[in-house]
Amino acid sequence: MRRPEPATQTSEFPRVLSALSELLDLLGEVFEQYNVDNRSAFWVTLAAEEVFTNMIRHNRSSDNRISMDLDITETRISVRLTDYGVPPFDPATVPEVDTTLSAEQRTPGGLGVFIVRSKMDDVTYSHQNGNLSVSFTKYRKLADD
Amino acid sequence: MTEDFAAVWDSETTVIYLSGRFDATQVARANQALARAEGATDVDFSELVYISSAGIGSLLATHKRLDKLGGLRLVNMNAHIRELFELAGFDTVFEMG
Repeated sequence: MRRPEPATQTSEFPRVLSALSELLDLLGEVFEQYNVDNRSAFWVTLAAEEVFTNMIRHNRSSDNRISMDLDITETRISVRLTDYGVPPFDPATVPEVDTTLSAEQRTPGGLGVFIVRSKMDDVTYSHQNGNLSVSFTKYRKLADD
Repeated sequence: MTEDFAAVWDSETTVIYLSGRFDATQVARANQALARAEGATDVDFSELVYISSAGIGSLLATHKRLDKLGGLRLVNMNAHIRELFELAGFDTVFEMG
C-alpha cells in the first residue's frame, strides 16, 4: 500500500471556545488518515486543547484568529499553535502543579501546561513580532496500542 | 476521536454514563447530569474516549460538592484516561474502580 505523503497543513480558528470542536475534529481526521497510534493521538489532542483554551483564556482583549500548523511524518507529530498580537508569555511563571494535594485543595488550574510539559517529547515557546507560538512534538509509536 | 459526547444520569442505579469526547465545549452538558447526583455516585467511563483538564475540573467540582456524602467513584476508564488521572495525581483524589 502506498504511504501517504507527510502531512503539512495550516488552519485558522476563531478564538472562541466553540471552535475547539472543529480543531479537535480536524486532528482526529488527520490522525486517522495517517494511522497515528491511539496513545499518541490522545496525548497530542489533549496538548492541543490545553494550549488552545489557554490562548483564548489569557488574551481576552484580542479578536485575532489562532493558527495551527500540523506536521506529521512517519516518526513524529508536530503541532504549532500561534496567537497573534499578544503580550509575551513566560511559561516559567506558571507554577508547578502539586499533584499530591487533597481533593479540597486541588483545582484544575495549571494542569494544561503540566500535561504539555510532561507528555510531549519537545516543547518550545517563542514570542516574535508580538506573536506567541507554542510548538510541541510527540514521537510516534510504531505499532498501535 | 470525533465521537459525540453524552452524559446520562440513570436515576435507578445512580450511575452517570459518560461517552465520546469530553472536551472543554462539553462542560455545561456534563454539569447538567452531574448536578443530578445527590450522594455517592459512580461515573462510568467505559464509553468515554477522551477527557481534558476542563472535564476533570467539572468532575472535581462535583466530587467536592458531594465530599461529605461519599463523592464520585470513577469506573471503567480506558488506559489513556487512567494514565492522565495518575499523571495529574487525581487517582488519589477520586476513588477509581
